[in-house]
Amino acid sequence: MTALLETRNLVKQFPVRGGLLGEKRLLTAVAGVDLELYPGETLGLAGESGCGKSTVARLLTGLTPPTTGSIRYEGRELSSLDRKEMAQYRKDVQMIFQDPFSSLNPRMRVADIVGEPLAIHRIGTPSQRRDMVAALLQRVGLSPDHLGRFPHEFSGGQRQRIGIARALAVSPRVIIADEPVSALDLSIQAQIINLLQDVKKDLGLSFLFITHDLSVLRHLSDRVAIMYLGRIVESGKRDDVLTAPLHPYTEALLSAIPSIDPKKRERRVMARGELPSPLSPPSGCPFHTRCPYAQERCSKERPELLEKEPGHRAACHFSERIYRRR
Amino acid sequence: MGIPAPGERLKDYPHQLSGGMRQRVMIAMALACGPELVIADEPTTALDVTIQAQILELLDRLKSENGMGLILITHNLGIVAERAHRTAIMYAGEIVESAPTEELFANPLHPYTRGLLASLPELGKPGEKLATFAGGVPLLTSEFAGCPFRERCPVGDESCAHQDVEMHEAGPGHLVRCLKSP
Repeated sequence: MTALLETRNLVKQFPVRGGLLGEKRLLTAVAGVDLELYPGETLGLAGESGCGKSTVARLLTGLTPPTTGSIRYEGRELSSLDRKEMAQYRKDVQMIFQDPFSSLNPRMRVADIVGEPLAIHRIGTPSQRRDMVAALLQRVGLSPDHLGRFPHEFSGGQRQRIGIARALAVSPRVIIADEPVSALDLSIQAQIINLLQDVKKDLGLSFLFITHDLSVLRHLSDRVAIMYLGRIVESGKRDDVLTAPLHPYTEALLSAIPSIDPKKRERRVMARGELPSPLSPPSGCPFHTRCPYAQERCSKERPELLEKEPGHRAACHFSERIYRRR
Repeated sequence: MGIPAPGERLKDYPHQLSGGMRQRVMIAMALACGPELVIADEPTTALDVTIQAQILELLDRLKSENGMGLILITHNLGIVAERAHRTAIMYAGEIVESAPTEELFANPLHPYTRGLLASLPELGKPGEKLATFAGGVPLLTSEFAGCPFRERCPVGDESCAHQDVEMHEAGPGHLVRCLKSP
């Protein structure tokens, strides 16, 4: 199957000023990412704060251009698309944001927030748009009575429903959801997860789901990719990666999750220390400073992301030796 | 506290430290006077999971070394299950259930506790619907009689609206505030 959306060696650097003299330095947020999103699947992208997963989302939605590397949509290079094709891409690929408070304009009414993408892409007449917005609200579990209200009149969960309606307005094919349930209470989180599953199935969408919560990741994803310091360190089918990881970082992440299941608690691979600064990433393997299995080679030579088992890739020199258990 | 090169850190300002290091400084402040009881209010909620695991290990170690008590306030049921001896569940200003932790997770009695556990993605089958509650938390500014959970409760009925519900002992050390539970 060919990928709907595909990145190759994607890099994004931001210039920052730092130090006493305010010298310019480059922060490498995304350091060579290869991802594929296949039609109809949910790809879960996980990692801790600062690993670059939100930057990947911004690159894929075209909100910011990559420094180097390629993004392909249906096999075509994004940078080669003309204006009209790019407008189509922006319509096809929609985003749901993490913060249901700052991602909705507080001075716009719900009808205008959800209707704005329709107006921008010139879909329908104003009166048709009103009907479409009312139907969208119903689709996400809100009532048409809410059309005239402002965002502050809603709870966090309801606002996230508004954000989902806005993303669905222009009938996208791909949804990129950046931590869409992280800001919500537990019982509300379950409602939004169910809603996302429903719309994905009903509308046949492909999802890139970004989260730091591995239990949400496991619940929603078909395939997963784990990011660390701007790189994918492991990717594969959900159950392969989450039950039999091949990278020590994935193993540490999994064993750091507090679990209510006592069976999962035989402990425990701990990642030592803290995330290194992306301004001066470690030599060799980016994880070697925290890795319980690190050897000399790890500080010298960066491991490539290689297929270790069918469809299961990991970037670790010693994964075969560490995970010989199978 | 597990702060590397502590001598050099003494002159740092908080903004020069990472979130995990700041939380270690907070814990050092709390322990400075050798307390008998430490109350930790969501001590790891703002931290990443690998750092969270380190801080929780640290708290556990200090607790057993100093023999102090710990009230750990959190919304993360996984942390509760792993770290607490006893657990109390709160809803709308009241404790609705309390029990030894293992008992509480093995045998939850209050409909709110049951609902919370059922809504966890960890326990659901991947891709299947998660259990949800109807409605939202009641406004605490309004006066109401009876059980504050009844509007959202799957087993509540008229009788729950008319009387204030007392805690009763449902098993050894297992208290629950619900008319419908055994």
